[in-house]
Amino acid sequence: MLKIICKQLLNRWGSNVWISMELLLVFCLVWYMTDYFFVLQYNRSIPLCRDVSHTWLVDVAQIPELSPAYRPAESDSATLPANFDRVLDRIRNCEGVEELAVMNRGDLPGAGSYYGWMLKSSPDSVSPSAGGQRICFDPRTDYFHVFRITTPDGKPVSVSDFDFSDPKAIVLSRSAQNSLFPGEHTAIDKGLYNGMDTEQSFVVKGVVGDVKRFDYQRPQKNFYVAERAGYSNIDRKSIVIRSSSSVSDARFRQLFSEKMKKELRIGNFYFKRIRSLESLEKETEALFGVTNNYRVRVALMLFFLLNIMLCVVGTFWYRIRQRREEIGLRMALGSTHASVRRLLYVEGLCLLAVVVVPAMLIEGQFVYLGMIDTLGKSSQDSQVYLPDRLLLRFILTNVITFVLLVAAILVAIWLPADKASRMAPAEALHDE
Amino acid sequence: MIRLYFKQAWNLIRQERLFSSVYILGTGLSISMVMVLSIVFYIRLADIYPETNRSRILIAERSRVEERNRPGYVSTGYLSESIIRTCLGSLEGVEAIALELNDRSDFYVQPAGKETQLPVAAKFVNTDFWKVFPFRFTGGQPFTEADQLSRLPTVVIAQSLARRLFGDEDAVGQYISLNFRQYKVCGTVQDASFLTSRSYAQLWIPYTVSESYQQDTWGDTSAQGSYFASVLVAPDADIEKVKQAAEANVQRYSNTLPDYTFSMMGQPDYYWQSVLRTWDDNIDFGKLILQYALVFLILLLVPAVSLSGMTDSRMERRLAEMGVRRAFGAPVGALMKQILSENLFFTLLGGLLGLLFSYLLLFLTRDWVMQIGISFVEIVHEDAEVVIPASMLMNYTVFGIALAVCFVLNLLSALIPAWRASRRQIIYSLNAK
Repeated sequence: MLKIICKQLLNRWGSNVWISMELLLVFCLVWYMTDYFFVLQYNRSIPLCRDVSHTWLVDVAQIPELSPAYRPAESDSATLPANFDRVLDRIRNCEGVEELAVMNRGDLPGAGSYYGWMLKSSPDSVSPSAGGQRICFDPRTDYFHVFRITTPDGKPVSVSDFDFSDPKAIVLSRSAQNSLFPGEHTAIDKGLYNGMDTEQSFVVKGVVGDVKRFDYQRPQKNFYVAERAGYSNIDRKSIVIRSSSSVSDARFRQLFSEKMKKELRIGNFYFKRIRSLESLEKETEALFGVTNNYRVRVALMLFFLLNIMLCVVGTFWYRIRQRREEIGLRMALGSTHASVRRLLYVEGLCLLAVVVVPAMLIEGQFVYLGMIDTLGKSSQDSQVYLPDRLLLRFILTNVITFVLLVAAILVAIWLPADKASRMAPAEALHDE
Repeated sequence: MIRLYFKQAWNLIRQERLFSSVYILGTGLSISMVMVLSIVFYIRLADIYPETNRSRILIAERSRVEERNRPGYVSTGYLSESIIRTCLGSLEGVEAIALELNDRSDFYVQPAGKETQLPVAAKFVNTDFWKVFPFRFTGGQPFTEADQLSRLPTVVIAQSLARRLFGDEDAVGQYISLNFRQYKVCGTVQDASFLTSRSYAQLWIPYTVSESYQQDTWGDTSAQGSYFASVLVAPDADIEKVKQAAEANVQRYSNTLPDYTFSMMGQPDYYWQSVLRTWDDNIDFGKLILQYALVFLILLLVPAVSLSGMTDSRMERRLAEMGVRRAFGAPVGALMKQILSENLFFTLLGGLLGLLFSYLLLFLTRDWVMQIGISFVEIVHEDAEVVIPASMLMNYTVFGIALAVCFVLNLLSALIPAWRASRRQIIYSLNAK
């Protein structure tokens, strides 16, 4: 049957040129989109040693000095920190709050800001170095517990597991340890130096698992350091909390907001709002254009697939009308409805098979010319991920594209094939 | 004659309903995608209230300072007020310079007698802002030069916010609390759409009132700060010459710095350039336009090939008719004209459907679709609603674009099949069943 179909396709090559060209064009374009989604989904599937679900940013601000409600005495060097502590206590004691941490505003998970550090394992210029994100928190609060940070093998950690009483204490993520101390079993109690200012040194107190800055990226290197919140830096601090998983997020947000509106009016502090860190991350992804890129690609992919479906429906519809006699004859000679349908399906799939190789050759040029981006790839990556293996990625994405187009073609042929299979042989032969 | 062709096309539609529906749907799909992009760019580039002077505006907002002795030690950011005055203030042909202080704080209004806080969008601007962006005042007037100089907390508010805060009462002269500070309302304006982002806000405050005003400049030169400038060029001035003069001023200023080089990264931009600009230092607008052109081409080409296939199939069935017409002396040109005209009828129907569908798509995706291709997206304020006024969607420019797209798509999808069908041997055509 396959041989006959191929012969027929060749004989009708003139009318098959358009549909083949369309398939070729759409195959390449759909593959381009598939490649992006493949890398994106791969990055999202990389496990994290952190959990931001049920975590919240509590936005507390101070009344400006020019406001009539401002009270100078409440913001002096002794009262301000005390008021801040009272704010923290009120939040801690609020129903549904499981844990609280104070951290630098610029280091919030999922936020757009980034404070980078370059650390070295010794002050000389040739020692191993690693660049990554610095995360600074108040050691009196448990940052690690709020975000369920774990060790590389998944064991939960707490601030109390590390000796942050040492002002030089630093905790590294696993990939930072691997880059700074390659081949060494442990980095604990080893010294580190700031690459930009070697006067600033640290002592490694622990190693935790890698986390990603954003879910669509790869894991990055992190350096965790401690700094107490005080009069001089309260403006730069943020309060983050974890709510109990037994209360729904919507309910918790409503209850917390209602209660804190009154309770957090302490000194010159007032409660602004509470935002989930998941929504903050989503907002940052939108801000950086990732969400729009995704949406545009989904829209384009649907557009291309719909086009190929319409092309197949239109072309096969006419084809069937022109081949009524042939179909009638086949049925008169004993072909079943199913075999007529199968004939058309196989015809469609043969056309797709014909374009696969030329399409892959064209795609190969794109890859060769470096026109394919790898989302989240960084020169700092210390590990090879699947999207870095270009040949494997190329084959996988082409297989996915092929499957998508097979599905689209089968759905598109269904309507004309169904009509053809329902044709009465006598009526069809009457045309002849 | 065209009427006859259209009549024939209408009969074809009635005879082959499914095929015609598929064809019109395919055309509509293509046109809707192209129209969505076209309308997005129309809204982002055309003279639309309150940004009715876009074609006369130059935008300056980027600064780049590099150490002369240590290439690669670069600081980028916005501009200081003084550098804007130095490089742009003295230019011949400049009518006004709107300044905006980049204050990214969260703003909340505390409505009188209520515990809730209302998140709002605020802009800190100068008095010239009202000349560059001619808002329609529904009450009161803009804040004055004196208000600005004496740092008086006055505010112009959008009519919708005025209605929300004061109901039917006149808002002018009343006080509002913004982040616990009292501001006197001096005017109310007809709302701007979120889509006109250079001017959009719900409150406009003199920039001297902002807490960030005092820390205007930063870095080692006095060129970097927190300001954007929209320069309105006089109607009779040559905007290109004004831009060149501004660039020369920037270069002159850079030459005066002993330890640094200063640039505005090719700015001031024409308004259209500012819309396409990314954070890339060496942006190539020609390449960017080519990229967008490629997207448009793909959006037209993919359906065009598909529609060509369908048109070709239709022509196969009508070969006998073509043969008879040619046997009676119809020239190739006449047959091609007939096929293209008939096809145009299908395309116009698809175009109408596509235009309507593009309106639906724009409505459904209004929160983000206007920011396609922007590298740093403006997030819609949690309490704001993106409104696309009907005037932005239904106007002669948009209809003209839709018609032009129909013609292009018709040519792309029917020219080759028409050429093929009309040039077949008469004997072959007559023999076709």
